[in-house]
Amino acid sequence: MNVLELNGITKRFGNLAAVDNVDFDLKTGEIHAVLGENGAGKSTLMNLIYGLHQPDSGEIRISGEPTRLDSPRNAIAHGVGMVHQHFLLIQNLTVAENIALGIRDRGFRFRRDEANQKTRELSEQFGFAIDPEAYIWQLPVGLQQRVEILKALAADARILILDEPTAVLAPQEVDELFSILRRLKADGRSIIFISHKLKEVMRISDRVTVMRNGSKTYVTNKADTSTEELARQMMGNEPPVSQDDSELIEEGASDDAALNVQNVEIRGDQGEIAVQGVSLEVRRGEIVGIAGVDGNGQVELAEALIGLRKVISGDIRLFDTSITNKTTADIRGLGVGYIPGDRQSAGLVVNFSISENLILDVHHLREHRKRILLDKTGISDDSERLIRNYDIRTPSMDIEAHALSGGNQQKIVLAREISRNPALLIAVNPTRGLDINAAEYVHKSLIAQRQASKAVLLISTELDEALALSDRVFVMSNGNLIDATSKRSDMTALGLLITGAETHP
Amino acid sequence: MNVLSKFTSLSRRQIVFPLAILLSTLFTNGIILALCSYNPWEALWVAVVGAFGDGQRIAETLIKGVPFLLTGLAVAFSFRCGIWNIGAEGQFLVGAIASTWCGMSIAPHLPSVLAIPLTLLVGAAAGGFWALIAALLKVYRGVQEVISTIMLNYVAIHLLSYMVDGGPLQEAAKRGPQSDMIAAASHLPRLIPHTRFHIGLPLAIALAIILFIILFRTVLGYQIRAVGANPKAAQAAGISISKNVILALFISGALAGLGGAIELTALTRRLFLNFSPGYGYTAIAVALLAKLHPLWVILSSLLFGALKTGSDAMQQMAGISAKMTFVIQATIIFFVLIYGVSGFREQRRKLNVE
Ligand SMILES: Nc1ncnc2c1ncn2[C@@H]1O[C@H](COP(=O)(O)OP(=O)(O)OP(=O)(O)O)[C@@H](O)[C@H]1O
Ligand SMILES: [Mg+2]
Repeated sequence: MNVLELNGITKRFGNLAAVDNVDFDLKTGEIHAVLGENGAGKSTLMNLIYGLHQPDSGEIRISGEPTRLDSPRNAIAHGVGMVHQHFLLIQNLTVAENIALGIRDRGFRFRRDEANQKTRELSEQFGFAIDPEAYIWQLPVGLQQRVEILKALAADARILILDEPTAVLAPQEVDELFSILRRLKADGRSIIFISHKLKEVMRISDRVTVMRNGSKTYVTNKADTSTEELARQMMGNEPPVSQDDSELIEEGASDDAALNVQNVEIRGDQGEIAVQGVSLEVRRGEIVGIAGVDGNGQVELAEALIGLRKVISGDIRLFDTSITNKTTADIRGLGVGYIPGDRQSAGLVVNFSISENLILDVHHLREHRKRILLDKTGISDDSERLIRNYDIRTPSMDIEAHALSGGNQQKIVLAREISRNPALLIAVNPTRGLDINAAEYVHKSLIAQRQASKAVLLISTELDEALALSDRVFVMSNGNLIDATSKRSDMTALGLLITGAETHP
Repeated sequence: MNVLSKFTSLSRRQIVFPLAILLSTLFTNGIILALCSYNPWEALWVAVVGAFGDGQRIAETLIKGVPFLLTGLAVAFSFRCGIWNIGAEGQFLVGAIASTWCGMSIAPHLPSVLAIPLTLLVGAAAGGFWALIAALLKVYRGVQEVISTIMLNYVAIHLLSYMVDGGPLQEAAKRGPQSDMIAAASHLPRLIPHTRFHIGLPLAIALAIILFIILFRTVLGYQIRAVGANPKAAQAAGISISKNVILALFISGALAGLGGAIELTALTRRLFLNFSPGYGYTAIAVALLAKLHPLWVILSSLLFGALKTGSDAMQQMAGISAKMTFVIQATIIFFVLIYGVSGFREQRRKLNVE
């Protein structure tokens, strides 16, 4: 029995068919993964089911009934729930308040006790372990995501759509999410799950659909396929993107410290001490990795290094120049690049065009302006090159960034920051949200930076990534930095370090 | 693409929506007027004739648009930087006060070629510094500019009333709350004989074009828009938020101050109590209707100018009370903004999808 059936669905944006004549079905009680490159049309397809977009042609059936979904409200009424990649929670309301907001037809008065009670019941029923009275800003991302799921369940969603839910999760959190999904499935609910990680897809799904350039190209039972086959289906016959490193000059490794951090202490947003007396050195020609779960001080450290956050005490030096508490403009001027973890909010101006976004850090430099005017032709030549090299899928460089797919938005920031060949590159979760090919390209680019004697500080929640790329690995836990280079082959020991079970080396 | 297909490819929003707004505006006002036992047809006719009836009336409509244009540009410019400058009214008044002072004490000793630009510049600078107070409070003390600019409006209004009612700028005869005429050397030239059409309009239009270039073609404008659209990303890219907030508010205040200076030197030529009928507040509607785009501000301010002459005519020719014409103006602004602001919603919706 199919709870959801799409027949010949097409959705165009201008001339581009983002979703092109797609058939799709979701069985009751199955977990159905949707795979595809950045820009393949996955999110658009999901937004159609959630009523955020309306199809130009084709038919949507829910439980066999042809249905018109003209708004999310309407979709929710038909039992569709969606967890977006960027959560839509209100940070300074409590969990229960956020959930009550999602259920509208409850009359005028807000009954706090009832909302708390209902939230607690739901949370216990599915093993969520969430305090209904906690404020959203107090929760780590993993729990915020559960609140989103809870919101959908409170509206009695029978069909649950998760758009790249694991991109923001640490490995343990992924395990917990998966056990929740299994419980929901056992409860007879149906789940659509989008991910770029084939291993996860093989672990959790019953069936897999692959999309390419807006079309559905492949659908299979999980049991009848393999990661290799899925990768092949996803990429088609496209060759992997080739590396353009013509601009990099091999200089060979060196012992000079590019970055030297001594004993810095940094406060977090809530005034707590987020980084406690951390020291760190990154040498030229070296990639240093910092692994760990989000919220252990990595972001605060990165922000202090680029001048977005003040340090309370300690010293930061770049090639023997102190950059402690200098402005971001000064620090960037000395040759530091920064790929923020939260790229949509800290890396992009979403209603600027792609080419405007590609010069965000350098628009004031001589090569991008003619006196006080921006140098249009220079900027567009540059943009064209970056769009080509980083395979940013877009009809034009003049399109506003929000019209790109999630992964392609990420690529704008990566292209901008990596292509400057900075003396020190600070990269926070650089491959989050990228498809396999694009992630591979970014990895190669980071290695190329090292080869050219640049320094790279890679901060990643993905242990595999940190281990594979870094010359030295640290783990950050509770604001402390622990050298884990000697334990890099011992996954259990690393896991203990990351969860904070063992805080001292 | 031929003309016809271009026309048919216009979206529903571009044709049906404005028409619906126009009709509902007329309909609502018709009902209001009829309920108050006026003849709505006569009122409409008088308003149209009053605004566009002959050359002189058209000239009057155009110059009534000038203060809206300059204050509208002021608001649009600061909003682009994400700064809610509600203080164009105060900046307009302070500009007028400063140029009155200049027009009376310095201009008499100068030839026109110097007196006029100097008087205008003094007005613009005064407006700029008035806004700068709010900018510095925001940058160094974290004071919300919405609140500080509104407060500064009250200070400016009372400053004006002190100046012309017992203060240093009151006329020598001390009869009423007004100043003496400023020196003839500082009068802005009128261009068309038998009308009050003055050089302020071409000047303001030129400024709108310059602002357009600044916003969309220069490094400064790029930074201001980046700070306005996403301060967090701008900061992470090394763009200084403080610097741009200060600059944008100063420029914004200077535009409004210049508006006051032009109104004074071109039309009234003396300062008086109630010098502004709320230009600086209406400017917010002017700017929003223009979607904060300097070139569209030209059109939207002329629309508000026509509204003003039209309602003045209703008052004088159809005997509709002044209060009633305010009600009508407000209704029109209300409907017009429904049209203007609904564009923002569409944009926001677009942004929320991913
Ligand atoms: N609002 C929009 N306006 C114009 N084009 C859009 C809009 N939303 C998406 N697109 C285009 O539709 C195509 C499909 O985008 P979609 O977001 O569905 O991709 P995706 O498969 O989710 O990719 P990713 O893995 O990067 O998130 C892209 O080429 C994108 O540029
Ligand atoms: Mg997507």
